[in-house]
Amino acid sequence: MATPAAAAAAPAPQLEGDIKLVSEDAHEFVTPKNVAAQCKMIKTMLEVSEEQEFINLPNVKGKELEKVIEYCRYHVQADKPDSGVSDNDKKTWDENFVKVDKETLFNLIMAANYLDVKSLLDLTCATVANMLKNKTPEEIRREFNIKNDLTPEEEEEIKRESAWLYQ
Amino acid sequence: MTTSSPYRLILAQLKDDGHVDIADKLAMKLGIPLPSPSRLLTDILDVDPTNKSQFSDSFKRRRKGASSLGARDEMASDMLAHLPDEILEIVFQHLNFIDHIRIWGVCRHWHGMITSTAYVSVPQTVSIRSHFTHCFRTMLQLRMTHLKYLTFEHDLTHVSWTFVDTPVLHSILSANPGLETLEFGSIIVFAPTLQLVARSCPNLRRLAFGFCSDLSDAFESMRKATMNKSLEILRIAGDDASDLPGQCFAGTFPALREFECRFTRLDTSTVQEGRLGRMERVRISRPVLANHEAVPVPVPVPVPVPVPVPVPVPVPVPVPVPVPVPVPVPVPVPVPVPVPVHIPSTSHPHHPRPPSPSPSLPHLIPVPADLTDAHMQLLLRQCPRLRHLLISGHGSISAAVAEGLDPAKLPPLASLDIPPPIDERVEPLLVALPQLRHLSLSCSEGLAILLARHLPRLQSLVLWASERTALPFLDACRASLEVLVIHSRIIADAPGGSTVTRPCQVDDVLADIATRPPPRLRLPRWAKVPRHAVRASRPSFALEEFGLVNCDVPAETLELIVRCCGTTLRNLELDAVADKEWVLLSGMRCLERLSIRQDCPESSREAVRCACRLLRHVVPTLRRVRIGCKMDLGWY
Repeated sequence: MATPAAAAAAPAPQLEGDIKLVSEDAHEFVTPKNVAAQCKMIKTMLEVSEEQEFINLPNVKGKELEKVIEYCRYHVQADKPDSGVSDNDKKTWDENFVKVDKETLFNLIMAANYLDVKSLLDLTCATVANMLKNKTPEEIRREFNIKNDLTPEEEEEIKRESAWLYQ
Repeated sequence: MTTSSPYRLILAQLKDDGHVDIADKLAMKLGIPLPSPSRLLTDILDVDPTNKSQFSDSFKRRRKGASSLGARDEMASDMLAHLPDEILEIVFQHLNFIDHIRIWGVCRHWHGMITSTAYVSVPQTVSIRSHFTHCFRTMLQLRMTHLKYLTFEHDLTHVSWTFVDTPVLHSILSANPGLETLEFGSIIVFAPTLQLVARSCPNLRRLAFGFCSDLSDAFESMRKATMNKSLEILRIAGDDASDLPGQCFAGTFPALREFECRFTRLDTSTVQEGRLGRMERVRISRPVLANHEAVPVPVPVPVPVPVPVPVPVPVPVPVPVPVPVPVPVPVPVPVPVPVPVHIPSTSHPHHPRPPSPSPSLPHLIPVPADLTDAHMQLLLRQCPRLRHLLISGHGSISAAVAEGLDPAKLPPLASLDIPPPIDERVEPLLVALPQLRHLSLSCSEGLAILLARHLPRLQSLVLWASERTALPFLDACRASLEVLVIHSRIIADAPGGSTVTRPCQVDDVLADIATRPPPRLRLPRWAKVPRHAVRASRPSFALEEFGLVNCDVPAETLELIVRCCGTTLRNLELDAVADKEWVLLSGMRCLERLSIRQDCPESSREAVRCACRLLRHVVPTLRRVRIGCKMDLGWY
């Protein structure tokens, strides 16, 4: 845990030029290194070996990788001190960014986790959390196709304990 | 740990295609269950790049098959159940306790996860006493022992009783020694509760509460407990901490970084002894008294005699509170109670007022606190890390604070509230603070011109407005200004010793913003702009949350209105709307009422009706449109 300061200081000179990212389904994306380095995992790889031309990402599909790069690109631009993008604008952009179907959203979560983009992981997880809000257990199970493996006794107990919620 | 679904899918597809060996190799290389990113990294670096083509070819072929697409959809729908635990944990952190209880009953796995959760926030909607008891009981039932963050999202206006003094809280706290954050919102607590907290939470780093009946006792027990070493953030939201003799400054909490409180007096001697080296943020909101007779009261001298049993005295509070709050006052004398000065957004004119003993409107007068220049100087001198110094309200600190300070040794302040009255002696202070981004002050026009030129990079400005002070600041920091708040009510001394409030003219500011809009300004806020001020000059319009706009100016002004307050304005009044301007109105996202003063001619009435119906489609919040005195359309 003593490394972050050193890690933050070290990569600055290397983040020039482009890097080719190759998704699991062989889609190739040529991305500026400073954008790709928003993914901590890629940043670490760039630090490990400087001269590599492409990085294989066997856990991310092209569709999600494209979204992740779009996200990183926007935030690299918007986070510049002279960008003129307000926090409100960023929030709106983020909200629109996660307006995707469930499959894409979950794949995006996995991609953000794998590539280690914390802000995107937070954003996507918050979106899923919003889907869970104000729903009964039955509604959640139906919407997300979750199997109810609780015994009737357990269910009865949970119902009893949480009855006050639904009064 | 659960396996990652997309990954299982890849392996399944590989096996389907007959590439069992590759699938096995991949599974072995990357590991199942899904390893942490760092482990993946080392594995991936070992992967032979030539394998890539083999993988992708099989995928391309496979993805063409309809049957596999069907399988993918099914996978997608139950992915939530297969998210790895560490991700589910992040998802659950975004939910409050009520949602936690609901999720508890979804499936066995989630059931187990909720019991080991670290974050619990009890939402404001739980505001009935019995519900709190249920909440605590459920927490016990869930056998939560991993809690780190326990917060109650309540503000004072919703909780007026002392639910936290329950034995149940004791059980929860003693079961969770790892608790780091405990926030009671603005809830009233009693000294025994804080003593209980001090005993049961050795690792507490952040503590927040509203009122406390007897802070001295509470702090004494906190000082003795081990938590005093760890506490970094202390917020006392609603309390008059008069009987807190500066202990927190005197090294009770050596690790304290942030301190927020309300003072009427502060013992200078204890401040001087204080160890303030770590302090980064100090916020002292000084209370303003409500005085029904509109006569300045003498300094209320709080008798520092701790009363063991707090006497709840129902006090009429002239802020919008649905229920009169029984406030435990340590002194059994009807002392005027400090009332927070609300920023505009919190003053809701529609709230019912509690019965007031006097029919006349109470006037707000400053508490003549003995928080002096010396205190501010001390804070500036002794806190080398101080970034935020916010001393709000109206008081008696003079700008003499700048004298006797070495500008070279000032802390790198980013935000500063300067309480009035101030004079030009404050100038060297501002010159010495080039990092300043937020400033709140009240000053004369001449002083504003003097000060504004030192602050070209100011991002946020709060003015306790005198009429023309905003313009020099607008001129100076137009490029960087993002937030502008002008409190329209000025508290001034009227002849005869009484205090009056009078409205503030903002039309010049509005006209300036209209003609040369600051590029980064989000939404300027005014509190209750009086209508006569709006009508006084043209073009004129008020930008306000519950606002009213009125203008008879061309389309570009309407465009400006839509751009500036399209997301907040609920009430719009116009002289007339041209046919093509109806489209512009569809940008008003929160519009509830639209009034147009001019009658529309008989011939175009049907067209206007049609336009209104269309507008209603685009702006679903719209409830009523009035045109002249003949047309009145409503949707309820």
